[in-house]
Amino acid sequence: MLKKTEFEAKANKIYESNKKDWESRYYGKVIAIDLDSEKLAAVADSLLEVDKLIDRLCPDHKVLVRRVGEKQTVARVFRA
Amino acid sequence: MRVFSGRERLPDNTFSYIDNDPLVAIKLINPSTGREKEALAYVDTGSDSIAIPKDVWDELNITSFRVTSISVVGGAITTWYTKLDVEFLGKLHKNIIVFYQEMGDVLLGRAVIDNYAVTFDGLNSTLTISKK
Repeated sequence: MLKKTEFEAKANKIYESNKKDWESRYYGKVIAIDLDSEKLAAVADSLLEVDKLIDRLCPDHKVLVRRVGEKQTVARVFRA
Repeated sequence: MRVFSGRERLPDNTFSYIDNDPLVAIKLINPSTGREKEALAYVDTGSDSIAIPKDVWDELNITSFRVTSISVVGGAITTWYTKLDVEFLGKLHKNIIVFYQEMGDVLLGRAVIDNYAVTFDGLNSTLTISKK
């Protein structure tokens, strides 16, 4: 299995380099960051919607899905 | 992970708690491989979708997955997710988001249970689940 830390580090770098632009346009939206092309792959209101877009636009790419802004989580799992 | 086993089923889709927990039987199906896994899942209104521990993830032979950030008790984590089909009370729910967690219970969250009316009766340790 791929290491999450590698995903996170690369996605964070891409996010930080586009932060001003993306946060001004998509604040609160759920986005998919394409780690292969290093570009924004998809934007939607929920994880499920973004995932459907990824399936259509770049199904085989490595992507990280997050919310734009300070709160980056896209779902809750509260009983651990 | 809780081990799947039979139990008394009370009338009107009412289930007695197991080990004092609101657990229900589900079947997880990996649509890519057809691999299936039956499990007892904790009915969890605090979770948006399903979460499964590593052993179940491995048994389902999940090879297609993506990465995301989710809120958990105590903060946020980055984890994998995939989409599985989930059979619950004889109904197949397709393309449900399923999150990976290192350990813990199988959690049946709102992506599935919002299709039902669920009543927790803590006084009698029973769970009643009705189709909408």
